[in-house]
Amino acid sequence: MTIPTQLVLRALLEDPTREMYGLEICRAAGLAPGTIHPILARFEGIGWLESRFEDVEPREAGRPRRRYYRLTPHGAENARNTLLRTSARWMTLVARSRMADGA
Amino acid sequence: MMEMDPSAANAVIGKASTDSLARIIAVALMDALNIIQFARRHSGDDGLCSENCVSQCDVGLYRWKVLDAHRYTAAALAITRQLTENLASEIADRSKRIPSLSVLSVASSLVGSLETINRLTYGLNSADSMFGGGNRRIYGTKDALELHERLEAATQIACTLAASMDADVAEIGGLRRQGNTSYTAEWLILKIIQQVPPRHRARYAEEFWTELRELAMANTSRPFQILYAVQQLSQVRQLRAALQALDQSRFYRLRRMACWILASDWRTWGFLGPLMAFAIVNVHLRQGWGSAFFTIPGVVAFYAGVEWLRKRWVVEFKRRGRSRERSSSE
Repeated sequence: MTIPTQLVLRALLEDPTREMYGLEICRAAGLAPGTIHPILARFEGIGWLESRFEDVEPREAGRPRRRYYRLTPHGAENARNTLLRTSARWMTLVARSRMADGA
Repeated sequence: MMEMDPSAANAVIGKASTDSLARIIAVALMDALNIIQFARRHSGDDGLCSENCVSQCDVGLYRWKVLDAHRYTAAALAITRQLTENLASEIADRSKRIPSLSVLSVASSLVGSLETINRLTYGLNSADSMFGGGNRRIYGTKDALELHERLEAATQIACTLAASMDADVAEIGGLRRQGNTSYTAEWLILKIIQQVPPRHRARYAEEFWTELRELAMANTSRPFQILYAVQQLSQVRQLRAALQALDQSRFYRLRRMACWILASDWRTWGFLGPLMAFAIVNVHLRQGWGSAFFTIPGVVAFYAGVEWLRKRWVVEFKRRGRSRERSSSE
């Protein structure tokens, strides 16, 4: 799993019930705007994410409607497990490299 | 009600090519309405009827009023015609540029408005024809009443149109480029949308458009907006791949291609054979024949690897040579 993907998942997992729109996810993940749509599309494809257009009248809101994303319960669980596995792997790698340095 | 001089109305028409359409429609419609109402008031004027003329002075006044009413009707007609042209070209342009954006709903609503404008143009035209190009000077009470009725009908159409188009104009204003939105970024977004699979185009068009608008509304600089669009552009191939194989893993396409190669001996060894031959020749040139001989296990390993992959990925393929041998032995 690439680092931007992990960052997106972490941003969404901060509050899995909360809906976030594209630019908001970019800000929360610390990524440049315009870089997350392939990641979101992939997660949406495998059913980890669900999305919908905001239910507002653009005229009344004074801005065009946003597309909101939210983790599905199944997606939140899988994302949590995947991130745990990835961080465990990293920890193992770091520990090994330290041991090799010490030896 | 503010009254407008025809020369000012012409200035509005002249400005049409440079100003934004949303503003033009609003201004032109208000001007047309003002002018039509002014013409209608003139048409109801007692002085417009030649039968009321008693003295030479009355005739002079009557003539002046007829010319005035004609001037205003002609100006309203010119504005309405310009409005029709602008609206028609805008609908065509928008439908062509962003075929699947929600602009289509606005466009269809505008087409309805266009029909109403056409009715308005027709009404004004018939009123204008009553003036005979400004040359007709004799009006009876009947003519004056008819003219007044025609302009009254035109006013009603214009009022209805103003009310119905108010919403459309606001929506066009919402969809149109804002003052601080980068044109280059918009153009890039359009190019990106064209590369997205057609069934996802409408959704991403709206989503990218919204993001660009939000960046513009947050007063980000134009280079930053262009950077946003460039980043989207750099990711568009990945997005396209993700959308084309939504329920598949990230390397699905790569694996599908590998399976296609493995499904045929010609494709597999046509691809691997030259590579291995080159490797053997290279080893021979650098280290001599002795070392080249030891590359043979590598070839065998490749063959075993290919067989293993075919079995693991359940690749269906026909061994032409062996099947031919089997059939000949039978």
